[in-house]
Amino acid sequence: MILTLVIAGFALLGAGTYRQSELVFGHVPRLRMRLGLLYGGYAVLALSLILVIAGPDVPRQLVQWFGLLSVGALVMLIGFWLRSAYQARAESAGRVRTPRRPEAAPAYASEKPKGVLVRR
Amino acid sequence: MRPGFRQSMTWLHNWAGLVVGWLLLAIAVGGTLSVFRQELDAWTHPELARSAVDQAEAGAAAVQWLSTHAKAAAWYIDLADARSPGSLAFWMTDHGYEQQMLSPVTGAPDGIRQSLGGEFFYRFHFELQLPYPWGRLTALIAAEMMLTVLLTGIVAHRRIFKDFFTLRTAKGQRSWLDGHVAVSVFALPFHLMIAFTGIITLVTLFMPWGAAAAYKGDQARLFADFYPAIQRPAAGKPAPLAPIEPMLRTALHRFGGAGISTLNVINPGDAGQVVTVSAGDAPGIATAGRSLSFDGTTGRILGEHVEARPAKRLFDTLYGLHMGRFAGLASRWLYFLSGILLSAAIATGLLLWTAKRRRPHGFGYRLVDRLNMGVIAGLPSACAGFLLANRLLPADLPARSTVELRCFFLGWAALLIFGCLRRSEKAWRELLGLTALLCGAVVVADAATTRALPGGIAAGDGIAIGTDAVLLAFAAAFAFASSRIRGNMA
Repeated sequence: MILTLVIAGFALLGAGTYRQSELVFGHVPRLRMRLGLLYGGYAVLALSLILVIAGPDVPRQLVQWFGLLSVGALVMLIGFWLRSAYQARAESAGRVRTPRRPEAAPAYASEKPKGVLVRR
Repeated sequence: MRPGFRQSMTWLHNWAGLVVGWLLLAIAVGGTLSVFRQELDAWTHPELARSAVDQAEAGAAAVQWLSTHAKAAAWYIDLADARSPGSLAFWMTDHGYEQQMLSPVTGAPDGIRQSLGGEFFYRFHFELQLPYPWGRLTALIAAEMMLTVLLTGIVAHRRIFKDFFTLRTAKGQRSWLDGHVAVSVFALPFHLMIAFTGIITLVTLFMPWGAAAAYKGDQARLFADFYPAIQRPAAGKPAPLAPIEPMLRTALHRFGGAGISTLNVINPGDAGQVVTVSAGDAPGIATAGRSLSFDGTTGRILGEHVEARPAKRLFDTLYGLHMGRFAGLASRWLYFLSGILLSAAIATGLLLWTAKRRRPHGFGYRLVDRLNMGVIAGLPSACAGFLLANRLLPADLPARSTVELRCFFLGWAALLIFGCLRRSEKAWRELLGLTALLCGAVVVADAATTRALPGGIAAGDGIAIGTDAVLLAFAAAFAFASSRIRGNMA
């Protein structure tokens, strides 16, 4: 149960990051959607923590929760890596078009767009 | 040093990580394996039946054997339990501590092969096979450096959360960086916890002044306060030891379901003998803080100690967190996985150092590359060699544990020399391939010599299945790594 929530949380977090969102959706979604996915991911991870704290034997379960975070993150890393490898293979075989990337795509609202040259 | 906070932290992270990296990797591998210390003890002593153990009978049998075979001022026994199929006895001789695995039924070591087993990896983790206090001091310095490297790493790798799931393979330096960041960040809370609690377990070596001032150099009084149990000097008059089994039954009754972890007999055979029984771990993370002392001559209870001092409970909690004794099977696997991630973080960090530098003919580069090879590929080979020696050496070989140790250290040294004599990429490929081969060979030797593999699977023996599965997974991983090497590791 906790592991499922942790994996789901990391999946949402991954889908909300700039680089991985392209792997999930085929294109980089709008910032608002990515932020929604990111906050959703944090919320699911927080929910898993709340369930641990509300359960019995909190100290041991908390230690286990940190371990499950590692497992969840590792599962998602391998998942995204496999997806990326599949996409690269499909692209080289000409089955899939290279995904569309916005010219200036900030990863977070606070980040300045890259590649925008300001002349004075 | 470089100007600017982040640059300075990056410089410290790179160089501190490099200087202690090899040592840290050895400590991390030893620690990772000692998560399953009792299981490795069971695996390396296949003669011991894995069945339910009566701790009172096991303790009595062990003391019976020790009373005729170990003349010493004290006996320390880790009693057999659900995880350990045998009782591990220690006693001091003129040449240092002796260790013997004893049958829980007969109390004798007859028919049980001599092997340090999981205890070797546990001791190697913080003593590095060096005499006291040098091994512990070295491990302590390494742990402090590790904490520094971790904290500076958080500053140095500023995109760790943005690139959380990024792993770009076959891109040289970038791939190593991605891998290093991933394995470091995924278990970062574990890495920080294990470094900090590791320092705490040995901190009195570094900062002994508080205790020295309070106890005025009286180590015995300090020890007695730290591990309270009834202490009394030898009376100088011989006296027989009262039956141990009733004492252990009383202790088991008082400890409830916690069971017994250790049984110590101080001044055995003397009128001043004391038997102290410590409880197994109770619920929570802290190591057990409960013990019961008996007069060894009469069997009368001398006193019971239940640890309630807040400072000591805090220490016990941090110590328990480091040791992971509280952990059930699932948590132990998580500790093991986190240990592998820590080892991988150190290994990728070391490889990143060479990948960043494009002067493969410089002395520094070659030295680091060869040491990387000797530790990253050589150490797992040596560990597999140790397990292989356990299966292939004759069970009745004299000084068998020493021969096993020699197989580990001489094998490791030979691989390091081999790596220095070959061209880098060839040596990497061959050493990683050899590691894969050795891991596979342990499984084959295990099946051939003990019939543990088919029999173990049929009987649902978790230790046989788990050990062989882990070894096969490592064999596959090292074979994959060996097959992927093109050019040098950068």
